[in-house]
Amino acid sequence: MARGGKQQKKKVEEVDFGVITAEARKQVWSGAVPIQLHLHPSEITGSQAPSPFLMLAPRNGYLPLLEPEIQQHFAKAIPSNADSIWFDYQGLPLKWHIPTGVLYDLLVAEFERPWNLTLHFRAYPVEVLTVCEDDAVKWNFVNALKEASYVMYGNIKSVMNISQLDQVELWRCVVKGELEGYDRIAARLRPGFGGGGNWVREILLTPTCDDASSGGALLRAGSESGRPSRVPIRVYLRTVDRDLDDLFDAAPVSSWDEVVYTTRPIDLRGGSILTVRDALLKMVPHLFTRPESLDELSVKPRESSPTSKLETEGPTDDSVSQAISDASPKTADEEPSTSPIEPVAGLGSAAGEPDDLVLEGIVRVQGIELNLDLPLEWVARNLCGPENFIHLIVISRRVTLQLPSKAME
Amino acid sequence: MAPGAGDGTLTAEEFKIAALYLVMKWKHCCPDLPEWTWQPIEKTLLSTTPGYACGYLVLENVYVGSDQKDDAENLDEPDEEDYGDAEDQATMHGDSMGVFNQHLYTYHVVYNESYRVPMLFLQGRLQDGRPLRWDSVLRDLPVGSQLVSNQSRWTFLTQEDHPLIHRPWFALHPCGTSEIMRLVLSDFSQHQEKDSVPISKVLEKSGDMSGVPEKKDSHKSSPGRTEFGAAERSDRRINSEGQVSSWIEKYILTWMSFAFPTVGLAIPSYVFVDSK
Repeated sequence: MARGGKQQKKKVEEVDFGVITAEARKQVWSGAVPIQLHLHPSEITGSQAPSPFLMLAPRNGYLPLLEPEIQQHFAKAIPSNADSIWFDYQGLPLKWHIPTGVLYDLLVAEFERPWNLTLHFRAYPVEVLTVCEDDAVKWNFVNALKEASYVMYGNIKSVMNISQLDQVELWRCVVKGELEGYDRIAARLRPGFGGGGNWVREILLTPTCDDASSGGALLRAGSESGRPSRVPIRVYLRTVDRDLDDLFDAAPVSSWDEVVYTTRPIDLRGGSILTVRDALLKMVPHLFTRPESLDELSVKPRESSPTSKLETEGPTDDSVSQAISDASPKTADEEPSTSPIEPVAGLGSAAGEPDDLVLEGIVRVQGIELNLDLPLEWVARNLCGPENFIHLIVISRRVTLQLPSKAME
Repeated sequence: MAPGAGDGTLTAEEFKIAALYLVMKWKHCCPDLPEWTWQPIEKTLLSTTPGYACGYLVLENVYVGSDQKDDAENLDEPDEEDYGDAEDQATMHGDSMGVFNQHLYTYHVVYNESYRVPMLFLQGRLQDGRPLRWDSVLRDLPVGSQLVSNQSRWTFLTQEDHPLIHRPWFALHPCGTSEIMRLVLSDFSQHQEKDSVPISKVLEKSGDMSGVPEKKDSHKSSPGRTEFGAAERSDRRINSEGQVSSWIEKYILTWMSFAFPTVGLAIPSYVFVDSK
C-alpha cells in the first residue's frame, strides 16, 4: 500500500496521470469509423446506381446524425415518399440508438475498413428498429445522460436543472464532437461542482487527506467530492462458436437475438480499487474459466497487440492505447503484486474473487482491446461516451462450463 | 423515516419477491382476468449472474377498445406523416362509420438496473398482428396521459428498444418512480401499523397520479442512496417478516396502482385488500 513514504512519488504520478487522462479523452472524442455506404439495390430508381459514399462516422455519434451529408450525396436517389433513413450491415438492421463505434466493435469481428453498410430510404423495419423521428436521437441521448446521472449520483437533478440554452449547446457539442464545449457544460452536471476548469483534472488531482490507507487518492468513490457511487456500464455480449480457432472468423450477426446487451451498473463503494476485470467478474462470471482449460485458450487476439487493431481508427487511437498502457502501471503501483500485462494475475480484490480465472474472449471499449487490469473508474472517466456510459463489448466463446454460484458472489 | 419506506427503490432480488407476490395475489384475486406470469430471462448469457434481475412479469392478450379506424394505421403508406391529421381522421371515421376496433396489448414489467425500479413496457398490435405506431398507442391512452404526453413528448411514454427482447416497445419513463414510491411507501408503512388498512386507501389519498411521472424534477429533498440506507433496508426486511406482508412484497402492486392507470389499465381494487 502506498503510505507516507511514497507520497512524493505519488504526487508526480498523479500529475502525469492527469495529462494522460486529458489526452485519452481527446483521442476518444475524435475517434471515427470510416464507412462506405451503398444504396440498397431495390431502392435504385435511375438506370445507374449512385456511387457508394465514403465518410467518417464519429464513434460516439449516432448513425442518423450523418443524414445531412448522406442526403446530399444521394439527393437524386431519394424517393419522394422516403421513410426515415436506416442502415444494415450484412442484412442486420442497425440499431440507431447504439453509438456508431459500439456497433462497429460489436458486429465487425474482423476489422473491416471501410465498414461497408447498406443504406435505405424505404421500408423502415418497424418490427426491429425504434422509429427515428424528429428529436428522437437527441432525446435518446438526454435520457441516457439522465440515467447515467442517476446511476452515478442517485438523482437526476443536475440534468433536469440544466438550462434550455445549455441543453442545446451540449447536444451541439456532442453532434460536432467538440470536447471543450461539452466539458464546460458537462461540468455543471456534477453535483457539488464549484465551477471552472477541467473537472476530470480537478477530480484526479484533488488530494484527499485520509486516502492513503485505502490505497488511492485517485479512485475513491462515493465521497463528498461528488464522486460517483456507481459506474454506468452497458455491456454487449456476443458469442462465437466454441471450436472456432480464431474469434475473428466468426460468422456475422444475422439477428439481434444473437446478441445480448444490457445496462449493468457497478458499485464503486468499498475500500478497494475495482478493475475492469473485477467488474466483468461481477457482470459475466460465467465467461471466466480456470486456466486448466487453458488448452483452448488460443483466444488471444491473434498474434497482434491491441495497437494493430487501432489502425482502423487512424493514427489517433494509437495514442489512446499509448495513454492507456501508460496509465495502467501507474495506478497499478497503488496495489501490490499487479502486472499490467498478465490479466490472470488479478488484483486480489477485497471481495476475494478467484485470481486464477481467465476471460474466454476479448473486451473492447472505444475500439480498443482493453487491458483488464485498468481501474474501472479510469475507464469510466476517459473512455465513456458523452452520455457517461461505458460501452463494454465482450466477444466470447460459447461457454458451457458454469462456475459454482459461490465463486461469483 | 417510516419503517420499510427506504428510498423508493428495489434491489433485483426484492423485485423478484415483489413480482412473485403479485403473480400469486393476482391469480388469487382475479381468476377471471388475464394472468400475470413470471418469465425467467432466457438469454442464458446473462441469466446466470447473481445480483441482477433474473426474470420479468408478463401480461398478455389484453384487449383495449379503440374508436380508431384501423386503416389509419397505414404502416405501408409513409405518406401520412402528419400525426395531427391522422388523429382528426381517426375520430371522424370512427364516428361516421361506427368502426370499433380492438387493439391487443402485451405488458411487461422489467427491472431497471439503473433506476432500481420496475419499468413498464407495452406493445399494442392490430388484429392482423401489425404493431401499433406511437400515435395510435397514444390515442388508446386516457385523456390525462395524452395531455401529459403532449407536454412531455420525450420523457413520459416513448418508444424504446426493449431491454430483453431488443425490439421496439413503448415504455413509461422510470426516472420519477423511486420518488413517488418513497412517498407512497412512507405513507403505507404508517398505515401498516394498524395492520390491515388496504393500500388502496393510501392511494386514494394520493389522488389522480396520472400526471405524476412528469414531476420527476421535484426531487427536492431526496437524499441520495447511501450505504447506510441499504443496510438499514435489509434489517427492516427481516424485522417485517413476521408481518402479514412486507412493503417489498407489495411494492409492485403499489407501483402498478399509479403507473398502470396512466396507460389505461385498471387494477381491480380488491387486489389491494389484504386477504388473510
